[in-house]
Amino acid sequence: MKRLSRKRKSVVLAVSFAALAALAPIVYAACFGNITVYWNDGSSTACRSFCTFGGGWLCEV
Amino acid sequence: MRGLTTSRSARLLLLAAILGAGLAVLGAAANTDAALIPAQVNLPAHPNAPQYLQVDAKGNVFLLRGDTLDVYTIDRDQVGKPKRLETTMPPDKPTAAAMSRDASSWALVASNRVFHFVDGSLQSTPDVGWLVTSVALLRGTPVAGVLPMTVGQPPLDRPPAPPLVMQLKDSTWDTLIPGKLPQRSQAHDPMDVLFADHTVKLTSDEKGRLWATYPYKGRLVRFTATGKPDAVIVLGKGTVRYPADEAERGKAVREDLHKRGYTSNQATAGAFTAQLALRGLAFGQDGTLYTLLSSSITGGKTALGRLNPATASFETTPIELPGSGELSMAAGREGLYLATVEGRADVWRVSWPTLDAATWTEFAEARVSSSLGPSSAGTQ
Repeated sequence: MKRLSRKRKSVVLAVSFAALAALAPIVYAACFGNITVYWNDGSSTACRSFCTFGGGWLCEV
Repeated sequence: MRGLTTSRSARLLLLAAILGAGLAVLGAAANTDAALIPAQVNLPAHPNAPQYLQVDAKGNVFLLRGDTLDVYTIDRDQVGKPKRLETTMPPDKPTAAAMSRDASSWALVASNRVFHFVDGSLQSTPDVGWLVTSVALLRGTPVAGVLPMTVGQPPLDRPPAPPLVMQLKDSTWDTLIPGKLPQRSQAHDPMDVLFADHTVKLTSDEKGRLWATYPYKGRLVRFTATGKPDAVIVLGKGTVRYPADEAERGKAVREDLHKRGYTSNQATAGAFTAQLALRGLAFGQDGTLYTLLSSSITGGKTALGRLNPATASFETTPIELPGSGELSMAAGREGLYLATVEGRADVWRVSWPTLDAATWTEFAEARVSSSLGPSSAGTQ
């Protein structure tokens, strides 16, 4: 069987990791139910659930 | 080379070697002098988990491990046998913790609830109702720093002003310090701005007075027992810094969620990009305030800052610490202790003689209110 060169191996590994990352679930740091923010302009934002994760936030409406 | 004898060449080579070695030694010494290098505290084998340092009135240092709720005492660079806070906590690890000055009680935040332990037993506490970012114990009473976001059943009427700090009083959470309604930013992600502007980390000083750190703004505020601000320290510009690629980072988060099947009708999302300005805060037994200034203020490596209550001058010295995240700090009898809150779980110590011998420079971008001046030291 023909052996892969070191360069090709690293390309295959990189593609595999990218595919895994795309499939991996989001790891939430914390989730909170029924969030409401009252802004100072009179408007408000309501989220059925609000989650924080590595570097970001998600508001499910 | 013509004109140089072999022995003369050898002597020159030897001289060059000596000079080179001397310069290398000088360079290493200068490098060591330039930044404090904390010593590692030996911890038992453990997984990565949040950890929180606290100190009692006698200067004994305690470490709470967020995965097991084991509380270790630390003596110099060794930990003692742990005592566990026994409870049926939710699976979420604590995001904040504080210990009373007599070491008899702990308050932990997990799943947006405050868990209050007195002499090891868990007390019943109601829901806070707002998103909790930090906790402290004032004369044994839990207080919680909150964001202007209600959690759970929203109030019937729009609140005129949200709380900033709440205190547990007669089994209910009351506002101790009022906050402000958040501004819906047009320039940045509004949720990013809300967290950066309104997040506070609470600490009680050696006299039991409450301090709020605004970690993204580089501001420290001291409050009276009735919740009135009576001293302010601003380090750097006092405003939040956002990176140049904040829009791209927000877009990347939204694209990632879209790939995972979320549509914009189901969810909105964004990135937290505000840069941390202050990484931690602790008070020495003599009242000296210690804080860690991140690279977003210093422009270089993390610096340890201190405010001497006798002189009210704020000075800094560089310190070698990995990462750029929050650190838990405690000023004990044997030195200043630092622990990572996120990522690889490490604890370090800088001894008092090492701190005294460090090169401290007055920090030009510090504004210290006059109430922290020498004539006001120790008064309230």
